[in-house]
Amino acid sequence: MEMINVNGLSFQYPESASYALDGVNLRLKQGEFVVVGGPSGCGKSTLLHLLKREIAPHGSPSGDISYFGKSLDEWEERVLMEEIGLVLQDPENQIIMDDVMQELVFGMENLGYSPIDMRLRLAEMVHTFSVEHLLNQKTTTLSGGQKQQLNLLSALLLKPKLLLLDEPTSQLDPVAAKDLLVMLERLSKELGITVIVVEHRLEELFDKADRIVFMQEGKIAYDGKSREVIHQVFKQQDTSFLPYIPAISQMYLEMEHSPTVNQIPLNVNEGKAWLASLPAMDQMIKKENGKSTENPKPIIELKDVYYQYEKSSSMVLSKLSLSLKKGDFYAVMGGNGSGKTTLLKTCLGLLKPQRGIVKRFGRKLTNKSVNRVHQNIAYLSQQPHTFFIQDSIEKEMLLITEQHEIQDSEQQIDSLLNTFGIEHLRNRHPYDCSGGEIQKAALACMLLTKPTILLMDEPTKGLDPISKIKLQSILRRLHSEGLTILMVTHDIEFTARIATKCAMIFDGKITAEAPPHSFFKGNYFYTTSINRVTQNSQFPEVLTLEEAVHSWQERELA
Amino acid sequence: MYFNHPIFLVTILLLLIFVNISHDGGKDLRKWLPTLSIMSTLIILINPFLVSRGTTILFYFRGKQVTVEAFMYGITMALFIAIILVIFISFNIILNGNRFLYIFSKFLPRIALMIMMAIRFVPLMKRRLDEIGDVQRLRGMSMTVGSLKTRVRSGMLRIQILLTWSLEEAVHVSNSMKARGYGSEGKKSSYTPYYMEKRDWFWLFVLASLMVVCFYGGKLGYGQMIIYPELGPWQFFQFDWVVFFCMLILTSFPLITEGREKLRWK
Amino acid sequence: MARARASLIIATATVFIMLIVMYAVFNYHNYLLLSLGIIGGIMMLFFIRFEIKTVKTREIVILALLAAIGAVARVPFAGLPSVQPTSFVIITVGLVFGAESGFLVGALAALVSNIFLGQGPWTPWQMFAWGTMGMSAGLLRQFAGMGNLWVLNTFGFIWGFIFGWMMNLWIVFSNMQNFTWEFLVGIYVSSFYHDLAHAISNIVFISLFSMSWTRILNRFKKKHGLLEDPALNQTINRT
Repeated sequence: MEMINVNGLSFQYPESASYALDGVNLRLKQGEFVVVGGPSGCGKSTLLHLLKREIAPHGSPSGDISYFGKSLDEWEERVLMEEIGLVLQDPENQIIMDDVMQELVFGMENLGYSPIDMRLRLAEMVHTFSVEHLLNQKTTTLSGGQKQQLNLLSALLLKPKLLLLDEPTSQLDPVAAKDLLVMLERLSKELGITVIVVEHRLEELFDKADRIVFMQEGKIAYDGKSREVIHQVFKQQDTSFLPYIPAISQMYLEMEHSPTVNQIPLNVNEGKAWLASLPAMDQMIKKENGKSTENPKPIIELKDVYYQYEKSSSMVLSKLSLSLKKGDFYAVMGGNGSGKTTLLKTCLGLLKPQRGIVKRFGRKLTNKSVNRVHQNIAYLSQQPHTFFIQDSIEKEMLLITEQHEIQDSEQQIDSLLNTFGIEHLRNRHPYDCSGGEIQKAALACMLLTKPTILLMDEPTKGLDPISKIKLQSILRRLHSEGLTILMVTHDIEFTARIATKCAMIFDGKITAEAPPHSFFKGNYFYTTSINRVTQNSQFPEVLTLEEAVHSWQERELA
Repeated sequence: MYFNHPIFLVTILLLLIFVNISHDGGKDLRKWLPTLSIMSTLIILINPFLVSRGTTILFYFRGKQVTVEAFMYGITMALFIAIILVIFISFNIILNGNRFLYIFSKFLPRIALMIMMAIRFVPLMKRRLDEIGDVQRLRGMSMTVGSLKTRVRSGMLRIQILLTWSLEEAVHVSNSMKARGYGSEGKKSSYTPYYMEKRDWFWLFVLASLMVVCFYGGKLGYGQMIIYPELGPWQFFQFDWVVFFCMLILTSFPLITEGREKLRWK
Repeated sequence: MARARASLIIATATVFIMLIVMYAVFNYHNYLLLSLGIIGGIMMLFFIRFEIKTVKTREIVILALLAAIGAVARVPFAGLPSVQPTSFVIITVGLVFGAESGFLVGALAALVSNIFLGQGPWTPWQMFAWGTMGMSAGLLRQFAGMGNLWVLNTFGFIWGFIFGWMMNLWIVFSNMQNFTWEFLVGIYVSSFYHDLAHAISNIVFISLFSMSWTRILNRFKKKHGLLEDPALNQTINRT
């Protein structure tokens, strides 16, 4: 049965010259699991918000959206409120109440359900998803993943037929993101709820979705089953969507001489099966290159550091030692609550360890020196916009050049803006920039003082694949120009492509430290998907797609 | 001040302290103890030297008479203030956060919602301030070094960043509310995990009756001692005892119910 | 709407009945309760007026948010105890969003910060004092415009003292039977330095930040068309 029919929908925001949506046609059957992707500003969020009438953005729409054959405007307000549920991007911004229980019943209270009805639905929901442990907590004590789960549950309590999700996993760590997606899959398969997810992180979703829609500049660029869309994008070598495609599928398409649409592998299992079906090749041991024999000076040194937040809480860092050498691109990885961020803050001098020595540039860190050496250190936080005080990026940069008495400021600013490709954002308010843009702007500002170290906290969180690639090339360039970089991250694929040294933090200690090749190759779970496919196969074990293609070509030539 | 008979006040205070201890073992009370004792001592000492009413003169201080009555008055006042503070300490423990908003939300739903949201925002704002503080400190905006003016400036700059940031996010908050039916027409209902059962009504009635007796007694002057112009007798009259016992049951009601629970589980 | 009007009338009536009952039962004795009844009643009228109005969801969120920001504004200044940033937040909100919003944010900021710091008999007084501070800031803009930094600074300075004086009242009222002028003067003299610090910090914040804060709030207001007071706009257009 047809549920949604978007017919020639166009939309223009007030005071904007271009169309956010430009003649979109989309038909949705009941029970479909649809994923919508595309670069920032392609109109996918606008489309999603227009489907939920209460929050439809102001502007001038044309065209028509119908729901079960009747235009959205003709439906009764209450019916649409109940039948179309919505979950937004940032879990923090959707929680209204202090208690989990109050938050869950918020929607039902607004619609005037009877207490008995509320109790019934609540009981049913809690048992189905076994979330009893959350019920009596305060919302602030929940983790990001639990918060997003709570948001999903409170939308579900109104028993929606259509569920809209606007980048629901972009602020979550990979494990929590996976949990949420599993829950969505369950909703779709077990309850037959129609799901539309707008998302950047698609690796997992290609496998789960019935249908993929790619949008670009307000229009639908691709629409079809996962494998069909992958095939089309690959065939046209469409650079604006290639980064969205799972690495395993790309590997297949790159290497298979006669690829067929139905055979495109979407997950590790299918990838392994495909590799096994190929004739074996002899292994060639690849040498780890770029190994330098010289021993540069450590810039940041931690020795036997212990840290706990409160007297009664457990040690977050215990006997941790780390040394960051000049020219390193060091990635610290680890699960939630493993102490990654604590480690970063200790390196920054923001936290003072209870025991142990922290040295920076060979000198012990004191309260005074933290305040003095800030010119040498740049810190890109998870919230880059907290860096900005002024109301335009140019003003901010001018302020910094003033504060630090930098010569020929104009020229410096121009060249940095050019390097980062954000010349057009010069007069933009920092809060009107997208996630990728604001990150670049913050980096540009920090580089004005010519720091020698850059520390980053989860730099790829919430970025779309294109921005990620841009960030990668910027970081590579900065690194090659001599900047020492330390980052903590969850992003395995990103680390594998860019870091020179990886480390895992567990139980308050650095448990393994090695260049990415040797670091990931031994891992069983904690490695890139390409590596998981090529591990223990008759093919050389590689980490990234580029590497795979490269080694393949070498062999073909040989 | 309603009852001012010291025996009444001391009994009430002791009982309330026990009630308070039954909540959390007196943890919060201990925090307030210094304030409480300093305040009471000050009042007891200051009153007789400021006020020279009363007839029974103890001694003269700088030509002003210091009277027993004024001392007595200071003591009752100190007891009274201590009682109010202890009640509020209990109030803060029992009606923490949102519980009293359940009552509120029936009459002023919108204000109650705003208060609840503000309560929920406070920890979020604190966390955001921490993040802002980290970033800005590394930019050289310190709260610990520099002149008072630069510190005040960098402190308010952090709040300003918090304001700009949070205003942007507020739009999403309101979208999430609207998506779940807030502001829709039609009647709202409320889900309360607390009920009034039959016995609750019964006890409410009992307590109310005791209250009426106390009020009535107080109005007739029972439970009160004449202080000015001359200290009256300490003696209890017959109806004084009635009022006293009503007051006793009223104040120790939480102890009785809690105690019964405790006994049952032993 | 009619039902809402009725509840306003009922509330007003209740306030008066409460006052009469207190007068009768307490025989002039209990000034603390009487004064609490009066300020509670006045605040209730403001609250009910807000309940009746048609307000956008977004505006409710913004007001709650501003109240929370007012309440946490003390956090960065933990090391500087004489600085009182909350008043500045409330004054600015009153200036930009008008008298009613100023009152609500002031009263709520007091209530909410006390939920974390501890409620007491002073809570209603604090709500009232900060509420009227925000309200008067809204009225100030309506009558005197807001461009002049001198006017604002004088306003902030005076309010530093008025706030302290209002807060002293709860101590005065709870000791009414014992009232002497020496007692009153003693209390007001002892709070002088504290009030002065408050007044000076108001001036410092207003001169350093009122421009940028007004700009930030106005940018947001314009972007989303929020909390517009038609009467206010007329005065702005005229000037």
